[in-house]
Amino acid sequence: MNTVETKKSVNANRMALRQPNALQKVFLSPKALNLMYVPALLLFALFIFYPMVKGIRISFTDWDGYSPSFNWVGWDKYTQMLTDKKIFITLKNTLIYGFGSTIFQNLLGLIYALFLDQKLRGVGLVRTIVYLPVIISPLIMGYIWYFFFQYDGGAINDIRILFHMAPSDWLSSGPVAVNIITFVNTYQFMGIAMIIYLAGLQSIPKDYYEAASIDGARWFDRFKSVTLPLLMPSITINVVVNIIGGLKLFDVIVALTNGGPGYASQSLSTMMYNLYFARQDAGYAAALGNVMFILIGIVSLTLLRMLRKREVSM
Amino acid sequence: MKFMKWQSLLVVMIVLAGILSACGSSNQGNEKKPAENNGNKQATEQDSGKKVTISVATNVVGEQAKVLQAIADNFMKENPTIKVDFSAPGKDYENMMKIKMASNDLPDVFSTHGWAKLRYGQYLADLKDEAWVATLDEAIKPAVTDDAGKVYVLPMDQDKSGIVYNKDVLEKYNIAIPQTYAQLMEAAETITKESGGAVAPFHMGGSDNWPVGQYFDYFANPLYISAAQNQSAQLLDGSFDWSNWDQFAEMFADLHKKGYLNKDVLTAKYNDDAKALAEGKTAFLFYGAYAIEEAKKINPELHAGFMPIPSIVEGDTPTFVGGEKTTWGVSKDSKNIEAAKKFVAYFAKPENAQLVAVSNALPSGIKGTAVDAGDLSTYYEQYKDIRVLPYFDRVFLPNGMWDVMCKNGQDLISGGITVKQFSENMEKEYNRLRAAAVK
Amino acid sequence: MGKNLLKYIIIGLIVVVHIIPFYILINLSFKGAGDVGSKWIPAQSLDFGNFMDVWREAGLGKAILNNVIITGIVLLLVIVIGSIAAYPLARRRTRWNNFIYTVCISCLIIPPLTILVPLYKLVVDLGGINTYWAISLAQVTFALPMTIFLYTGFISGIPKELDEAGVIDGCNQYSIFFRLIFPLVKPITATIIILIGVQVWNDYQFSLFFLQQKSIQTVPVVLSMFISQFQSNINWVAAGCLIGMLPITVVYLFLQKFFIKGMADGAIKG
Repeated sequence: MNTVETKKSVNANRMALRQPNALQKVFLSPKALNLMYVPALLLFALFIFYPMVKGIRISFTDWDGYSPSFNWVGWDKYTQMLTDKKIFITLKNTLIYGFGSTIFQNLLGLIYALFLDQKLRGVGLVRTIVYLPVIISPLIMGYIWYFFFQYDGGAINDIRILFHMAPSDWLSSGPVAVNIITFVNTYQFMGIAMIIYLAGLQSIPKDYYEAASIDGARWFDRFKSVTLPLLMPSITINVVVNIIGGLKLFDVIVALTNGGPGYASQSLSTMMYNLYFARQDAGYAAALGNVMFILIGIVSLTLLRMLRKREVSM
Repeated sequence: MKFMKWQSLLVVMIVLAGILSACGSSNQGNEKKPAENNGNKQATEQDSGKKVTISVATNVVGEQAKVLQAIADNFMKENPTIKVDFSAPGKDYENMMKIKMASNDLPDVFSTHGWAKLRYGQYLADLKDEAWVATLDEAIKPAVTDDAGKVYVLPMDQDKSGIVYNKDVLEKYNIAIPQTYAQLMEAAETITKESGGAVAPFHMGGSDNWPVGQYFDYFANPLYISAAQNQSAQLLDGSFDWSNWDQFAEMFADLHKKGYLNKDVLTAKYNDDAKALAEGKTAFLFYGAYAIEEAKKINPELHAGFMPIPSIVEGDTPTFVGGEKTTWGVSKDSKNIEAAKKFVAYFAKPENAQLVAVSNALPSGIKGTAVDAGDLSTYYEQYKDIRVLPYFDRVFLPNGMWDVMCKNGQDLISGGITVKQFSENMEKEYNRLRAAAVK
Repeated sequence: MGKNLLKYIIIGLIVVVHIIPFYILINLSFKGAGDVGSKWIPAQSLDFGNFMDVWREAGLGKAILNNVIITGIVLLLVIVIGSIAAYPLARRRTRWNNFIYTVCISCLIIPPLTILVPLYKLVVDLGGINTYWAISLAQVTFALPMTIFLYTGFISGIPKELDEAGVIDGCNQYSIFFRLIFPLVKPITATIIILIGVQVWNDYQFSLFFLQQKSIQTVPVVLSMFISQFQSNINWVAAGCLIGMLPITVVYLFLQKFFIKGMADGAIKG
């Protein structure tokens, strides 16, 4: 092993002395470094951009999603959105799922991380338990929580009955259902936020804190002046990951309410799915998808830029 | 050293490029025969020495799927040159088939779950020359053939759905089988009052959407179609006055207002309906006999029966809804169309069709095969002369309306929309989908 | 000690709150379809019947093998392609590269349904239905944006002095990456293995459509056949889901230490 290494470096030295030929020159120019992302771009081109362009074309048709015939309808499917009475509640829900889960996942994830970043017995096990829901598929997680909130034979109502309280039909109210869905999504994925914060916390050198405690700073001041700024990169990752996940939320909604009652808890994702497969309005579904793409794009890229700026200024 | 490193990078890229270009070439190879995934098996029908693979897909799952699979296994034993790839994806079958239709990638043989003519029609091969066509039961023939004589699918059984009920509950509250909608409502009133709300006359898993649609699909026939004076012509030619729908929506809203539906109608699922029937917590369900089977998994001692759908219009009589249920159609683009037809013909053998029909507790689609539907046989016998109408939405509503009906029904009882808005939404979507269908 | 007691009480509470759903799931997996009692009441016996039935009926052994193959291929490719793509994006912050970075992040945002139908058609045309390579390449593509996002963030945090030292040592830009940077990205690689691994392992939306033959289907796809409009066997699904979780849980436990500690060793720094 060692001899190979030395041989290699001898070779390398020899190469460095030799004058590079034209081809090598091209490859060694700083611009050529960009070649390294070419494989990724090729894959994107084939499996994302190409289908996406086709998807954009669909949004200008009245295609039903399966038959060979369709008509071009111009911008009709986009203007259809303006007259769709359900679009407002759908947008509102989508934003609640996005921002609600992001706020709670980060808050809880950070609190858990701070708490579990101590030398206590069993913290390793606790971290694992908090992370476990991430491993279950969201659809199954949705079903499990459905069994909690169900009216007849639901786990929560069983307890209420035990205490002689009237059972409640939790998911029958739209706003409550939206909150429950946000909660379940938070519950499932806060483990990721926790783990990333834990890693961030452990990467803060201990002497930073020592310096701060000599100054006589209290825990909260120390948290504000040392911990939080140094956690900025972790915050960026978490916020971006959570907001995108929340805005695209799908499986949990399907398992818990199917977007109902009526349309009260549907998100852009479930609405799109429904339009595509059940309503046979693939054109409208595609138009909605494109709008959703732009919307999530604006929200998450703005957030990312804001957070990155804070990181740089640290 | 550095030379070696960027060389390795190059290798990675070349490999990737290789993978991509390899895709490109197989693309050309496949374009001519987009039908199925067995591109590597170039065997043709005449070349009987070689093995042919046919892909078969069904929406059926559970015990019924096992029956189909077992028959397919026997078929393979008798036809060693044909291999059957059997797939049963469950709840996403319909979505998958839509994507496959869009991509011209249909399986050689597939189930059409009641949509043989309307949705799958143009993708299905004509089976009129098959020997089994002559053996089809007359009652089911119209559902799978058209005026031009095209036979779309093999129907192995005949759907005959009405309302299922818990016998013990009806006996307890002394209720005779309702013949009219008014009697059904009376029965509901009696049950609600006398049970003090403990028994829901009707149980509906609204969270799953389709149970709501069942109500509309069931009662649209007696309301608009089955009576002597009816609106079928207007519904078909598009001149139907949708303000008529107000009455129907009102009827549904009343069920909820009067407390005839289960309290959790907005959040319960289909399984809960079967469970409620099994536990005697409900009297009637708007489902076919399959709900009894599901309920018996929970309570094998259940006493359940089924009845036709009560009439609404004065002077009309009760009806069933029905059509084909378990079917096999052959893709017209199938590369192995002969093997596929052979496969379908195997299921048309009376003994095999009978197995399928028995597993669904339904009458067979093949003439002269008596099906022992167990406890339900007496009901089929009792109601053998009752008219069987096709499902309302399959005939009178454009493809795609089903979900509008389900969702709006749910929205109505959750207070999201009014009766008027329900009718307006129906009209709007009816017109849009009709316009899209008539191209 | 008193202070720690409080902490242990809190730990106990956290454990209870987070274990309850698993209790319900495990409990379900032992119950029969006829058991309609409260979800809290423990199953009458530790009968592994559901586990054995679902294993046999769904062919879970083969399905898990498929999961392992697909997840393995995807992770390998995504780590190689993702890390090399991230390096120029992190180090050469030109306008063009910032644009490319934005494009990569945008791919993270695309709603899967908008591209599902055209993508399916593409895969059919390429002859990729029911093949390992098609599902793997598709999964790699969908996992890449997140991978590039994480690697770029991580590599940006590695001091540039390291590269400069590399140049003095006579390394070219590529060997700097492979010799100096790549060994340092292990912690974030562990994160990616966990995040992407779980995502690919549980994928249903794409696997359902791309893997139609039973012999190539993954666990989430084979389990879906027990849920349909007219009947579902939730007890089997619960059992199957627990079986399907096991391998990935083991991998998580194995990586966990490495993953937090390693990240701390110089990981997420601005």
